[in-house]
Amino acid sequence: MLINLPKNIVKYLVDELPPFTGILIFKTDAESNIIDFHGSYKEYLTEKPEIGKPIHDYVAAVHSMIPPVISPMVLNKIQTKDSKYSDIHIIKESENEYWLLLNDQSREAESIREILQKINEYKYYNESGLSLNNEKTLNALEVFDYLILKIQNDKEAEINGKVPSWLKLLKPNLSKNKNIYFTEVFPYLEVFMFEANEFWAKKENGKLKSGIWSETLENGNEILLTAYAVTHNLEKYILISPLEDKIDSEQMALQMAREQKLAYEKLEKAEQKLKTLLEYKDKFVSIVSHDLRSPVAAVLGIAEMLINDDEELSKLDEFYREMILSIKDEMLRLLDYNDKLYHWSNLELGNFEIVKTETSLKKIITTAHRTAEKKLKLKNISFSTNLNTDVKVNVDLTLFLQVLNNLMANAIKFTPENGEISINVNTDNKIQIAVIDSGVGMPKEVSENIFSGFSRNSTIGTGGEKGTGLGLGIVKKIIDAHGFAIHVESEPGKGSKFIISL
Amino acid sequence: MIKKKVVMLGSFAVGKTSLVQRFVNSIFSEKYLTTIGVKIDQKIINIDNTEVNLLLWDIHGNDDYQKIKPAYIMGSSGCFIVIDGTRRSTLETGIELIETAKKTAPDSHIIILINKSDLKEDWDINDHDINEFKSQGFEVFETSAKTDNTVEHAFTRISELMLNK
Repeated sequence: MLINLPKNIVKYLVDELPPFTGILIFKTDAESNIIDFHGSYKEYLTEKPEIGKPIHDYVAAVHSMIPPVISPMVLNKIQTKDSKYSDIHIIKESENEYWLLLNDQSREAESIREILQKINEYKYYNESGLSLNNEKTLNALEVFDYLILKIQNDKEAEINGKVPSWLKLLKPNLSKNKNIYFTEVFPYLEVFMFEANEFWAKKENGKLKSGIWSETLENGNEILLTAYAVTHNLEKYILISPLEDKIDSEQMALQMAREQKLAYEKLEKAEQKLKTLLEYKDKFVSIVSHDLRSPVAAVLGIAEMLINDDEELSKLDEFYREMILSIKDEMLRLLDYNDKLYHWSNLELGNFEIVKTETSLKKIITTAHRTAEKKLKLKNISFSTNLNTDVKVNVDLTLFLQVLNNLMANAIKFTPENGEISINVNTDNKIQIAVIDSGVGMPKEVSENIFSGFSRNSTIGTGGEKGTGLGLGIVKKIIDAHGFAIHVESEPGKGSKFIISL
Repeated sequence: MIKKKVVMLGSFAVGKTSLVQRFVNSIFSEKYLTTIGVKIDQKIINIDNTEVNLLLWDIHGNDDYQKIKPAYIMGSSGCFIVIDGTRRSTLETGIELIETAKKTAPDSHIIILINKSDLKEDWDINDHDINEFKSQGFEVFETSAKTDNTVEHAFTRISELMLNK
């Protein structure tokens, strides 16, 4: 079954055939043979169409119509089976591709036919001198709830037949066989009369349908109406009909389409706002972290100068000496935080370039170990690696080393004294590097968001080490930039394992 | 009594129906209900001791699903182009509709309404856009059917223009 509808066919459906449901669609070649079809054929045809057979075997009216003289070509109110009338739209897509859209018009065709029949009867009785109040004719008119206006001029018309029930609720004073100023009663018809006069001037058969308008009934309810201009025995008529059930589906489709469009517009706007805010945040962080560096470094310099000046230091008591040492430690930490923030914001803004070179993995691990050695010793943590034979990896050496440094620092921080840390390498399928610790581990809700940067979870280590919460955010950025992947396996009390897949 | 036809034109969901309902029936509903076709309301107002019966043509929103028939604008003496201040796309539709209105009813007085002034912090329409309209000779009002901001004034002003007052 179908169907990949080309864009222009979808547009045609939306523009020309609202609410574009219940339509039978055929695709044929230039020889009228069916390539494909979609829709409820049972509604329109007496038998199931077969692919490859000519379309006119099923819809006789389109015989010799493909290719159409013009595209789109519309055949109005074609009977395709008993009591089934359809508008048939034929659209040329390419030299060997044609689309036929069958749109059900049975209800409309039937109602118009019935009305015209009634007008005929009315005229017949009228002209044959029978009473206008002949119940046989006029009772039937009421069934269809059409208001029939026999047009006298651009403003006046005579109400023919019985006054329909809805009109009694709209204008209780109107009665049959009375002349009314119909554009006063229905101001909408003033506009429709422009089109109707053109239609009547052409003296063609058929009808002209107006747009839809609504009126407020005496009980406060709204009623939607549509009008038809018709000619009968050289007389001009306007028939007005309420659009109850038909309009429901049309209105619902429109309402939904527009609500969706509104929601989409809102979403688009929110997304744009969010993007601007994120850009603002990144720039803000970058500027602030850059500008903080100088004053922090200056305070650190002063603290170091004081610590190194034995003469001045000896003048201070123990409490003040401790205070100066604390200033130095905190300034160092602030500087480290600032450096990380600056680094992180640059990564976030994309202000860096990966330069990959083939490098010895053993060398990287050895360097990372050496960098961490002092901290490892402080907590008496043992370090090991399973990498005996060297492996070459294609990485940006500086950035990748920072990844291992950050992971090692993280592992040391959350591993109690006398614990173990290892960097194991697996080369079975692809290269995997795992930084494993015997530390405190973490629950799932923490590990799920650990790489987001600006961690809201505790960054206090087992030895009271303070952290920035940015380290793993930086790791993720660098890993992503390399096109690698990283994930963490951890449970509270059972340590953590950060695995990088190259 | 003098009768004047005023048409409400604009993209969908800009608040045309809400403005008419606020002006005619002093009501407002938060719920968006798309207008099908045309709804014509009437209201008699008094301008300097002259009674005018305003025929307010609330026409369905213009978009890919429903296109406004130029015939609806024919014979109008006044025309409101309604723009939703929070949706920039409705400004573009408004500009297109100004051209349609000028072509179809050249003598019609056009007033631009930037609606939803209660949501001004969310507006995508700025002073530059408003000044652009003004520089072309249009009167521009910032309205809100929800808070009843400038609604009556806008309808009064268009009536004055239609009566050449």
